[in-house]
Amino acid sequence: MGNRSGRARLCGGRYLMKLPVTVIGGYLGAGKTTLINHLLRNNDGLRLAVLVNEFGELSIDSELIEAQEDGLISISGGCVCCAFGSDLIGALDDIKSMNPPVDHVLVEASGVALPASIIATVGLVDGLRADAVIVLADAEQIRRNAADPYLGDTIHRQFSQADIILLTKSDLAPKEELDDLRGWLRGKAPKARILPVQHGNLPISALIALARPCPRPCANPGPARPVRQPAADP
Amino acid sequence: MNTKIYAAKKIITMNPNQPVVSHVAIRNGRILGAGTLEQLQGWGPYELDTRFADKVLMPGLIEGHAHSMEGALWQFTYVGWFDRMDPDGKVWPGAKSIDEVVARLKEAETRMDDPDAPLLGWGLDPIYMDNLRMTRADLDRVSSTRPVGIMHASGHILNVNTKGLELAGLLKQGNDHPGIPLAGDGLPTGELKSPEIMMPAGKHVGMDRAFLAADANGLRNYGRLCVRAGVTTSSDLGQQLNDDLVKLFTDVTNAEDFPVCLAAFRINFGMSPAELVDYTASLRKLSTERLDLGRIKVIADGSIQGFSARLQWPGYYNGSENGLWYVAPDQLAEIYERALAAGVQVHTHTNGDQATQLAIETLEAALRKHPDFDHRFTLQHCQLASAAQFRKMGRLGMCVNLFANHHFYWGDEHYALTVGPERAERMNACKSALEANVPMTIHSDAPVTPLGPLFTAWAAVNRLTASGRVQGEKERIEVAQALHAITLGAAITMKMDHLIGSVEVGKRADFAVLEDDPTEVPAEALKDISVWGTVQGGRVFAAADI
Ligand SMILES: [Zn+2]
Repeated sequence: MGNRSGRARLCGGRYLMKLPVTVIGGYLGAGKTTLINHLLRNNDGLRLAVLVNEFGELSIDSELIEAQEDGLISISGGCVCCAFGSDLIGALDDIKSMNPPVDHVLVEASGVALPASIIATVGLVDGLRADAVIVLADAEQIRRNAADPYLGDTIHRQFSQADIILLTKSDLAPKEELDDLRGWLRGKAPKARILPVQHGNLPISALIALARPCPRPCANPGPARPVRQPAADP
Repeated sequence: MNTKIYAAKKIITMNPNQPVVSHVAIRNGRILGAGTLEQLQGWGPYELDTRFADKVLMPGLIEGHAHSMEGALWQFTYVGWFDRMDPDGKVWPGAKSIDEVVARLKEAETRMDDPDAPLLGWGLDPIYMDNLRMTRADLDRVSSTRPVGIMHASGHILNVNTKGLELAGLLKQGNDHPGIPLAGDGLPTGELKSPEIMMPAGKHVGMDRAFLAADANGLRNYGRLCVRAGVTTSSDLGQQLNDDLVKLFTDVTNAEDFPVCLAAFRINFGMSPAELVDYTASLRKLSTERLDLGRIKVIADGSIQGFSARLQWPGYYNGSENGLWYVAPDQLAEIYERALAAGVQVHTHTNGDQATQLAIETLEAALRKHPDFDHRFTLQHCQLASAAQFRKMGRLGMCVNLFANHHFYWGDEHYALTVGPERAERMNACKSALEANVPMTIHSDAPVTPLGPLFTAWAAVNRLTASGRVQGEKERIEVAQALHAITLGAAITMKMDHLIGSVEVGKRADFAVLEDDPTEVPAEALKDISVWGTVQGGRVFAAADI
């Protein structure tokens, strides 16, 4: 049935496609909050829905917040943020049926969560597709965390599940150290793209790996977006 | 100033100065004195009550780790392996085969009016049925038109019928998820094995608010179960307390006939460490005679039988990958530091020995920043702790609440599969804890196992597994130590030992009223002692009338 199966969504007036979901993982202090705030500020007209495990863990910059009710935060630019707690599928269902529709979902994983288990859950919801797993690593902290007897295996498992590893706070590390670090990371996650960033400063197009951004908010029918489906999609 | 003096066959006080007395005087819901009738007469006019003349009184039993959900579950159909008593006192015989489980649900089905209403069972444990897996076809025999589900005893697996799968949107090819086993036809077998799938599917088979959190009826039923078990104070270990839920608890427990004091802990989910500590601290002043607030429960890791507990080297006996952290180590540190600074007590669920070690080290570091000479931070379950860990806990002023019942229900599984013989023998090491001077209690974790401190005491004293083996002979404790654990021991872990836990002047008039003397019956019979009822805050509750 290809992309016409399930509850496919009309975007751009021409193409049916599934709503892409990106998982953002990484340990505490790796810069997930900074990254998410940066993406919300520089959303390139994309209507983003940010799902966090619990609100306590993510602070959206207050000047971005337009309204807050019933557990849903409305953010300037048509973006939204909500907490999913123990019901990720329920939250994804709610996001999927939002009007106007959202263009991309970002799920912020808790610091010790394994992104692959979130991706597996996303795969169960009709009309959604997993876009990418982004794992953040603090250039200053990551090697210490990876060697920690309590945390190490969790950090390694997170790396092994990443499509993209963002090396945050890389401005704080000397260049040789950074090169060294990239080599080390490549060994841990040979398939992942490794991108050094500063202050979460990265264009959204670099992060949203498989879908191209819609240049205008999708409430207005915009130019066609290429439909990209993972080959394995039934 | 009404004074009542109860005469009993025997009163076990847990007060070492007078371990056994014959009479106890009560005034305003508190113990005016314990001793002989002559000694108590000095307090002035009294009314002598002889209704307990042939009963044995103990301090009201205290359950230090249970969930009021045990009361709510009886609104659903019990299909577990072991016989189990409901809040009405009816004993439901264990269901010993899939056919019996199906028959039990079918019978419940005939009593339902609404043809579309979901039907939910609970308590299934395939371990006792040679690990036979139930399928959607089994549950379709109950009904093919209404959604039917069964929550397993572990709480980690939900079985649903075809209708349930269909409503949950899972009756399709291509489900690619480790928590959804597929049958030969490519469709799910009906077993759903991880919380992120169970929750949304559960909604369709009847896992409602009562099932998941708390409702008034469930709390009242929990109170009735407490009376039947001789329990006068129970923790409710881990509620996502908010203002609404606190109001519900307050209203229900304030009722004149509510028979137990609940200590409701705020679980660490849904709030940042700062909010968690501030909110929990703010609840303390809302405490009442029967609702004790202001403590935090943190979940550090998963379960051993679910292979999600965090183990130290060499890990799981069957080679499974190490488990999962349910809290980030740095968050645990922040919670401990803030809680110590605010004087809020924290109980931490640690199953694996690595989680226990993390909690110990994290607390040690936090105590350096915020010294507290009576914090009594408590590890809950703490099933795999080593002797060295207990010694460290003792030196740091920590308490422990060991899962003695677990040893009976899943001890054989731990021996053969999860941790192997050596560590299975030291699981829930009550003796080691006491030797290391760690204040200790033992628990049921109801509804994971049934509420019943005398059964739990039996489990700690005898250390029998379900197959009848003694597992960890050296960790067995004396009856007297077990009785201390389910009274004063539990009170100490909740910082309530100045209020409850012994029959002593000034304490709350809380008694378990027993038909037999637990210090006289053979140790193997501890679990069979029948409970007449309780006295809580001076109010008498007969199990027969509750
Ligand atoms: Zn529990």
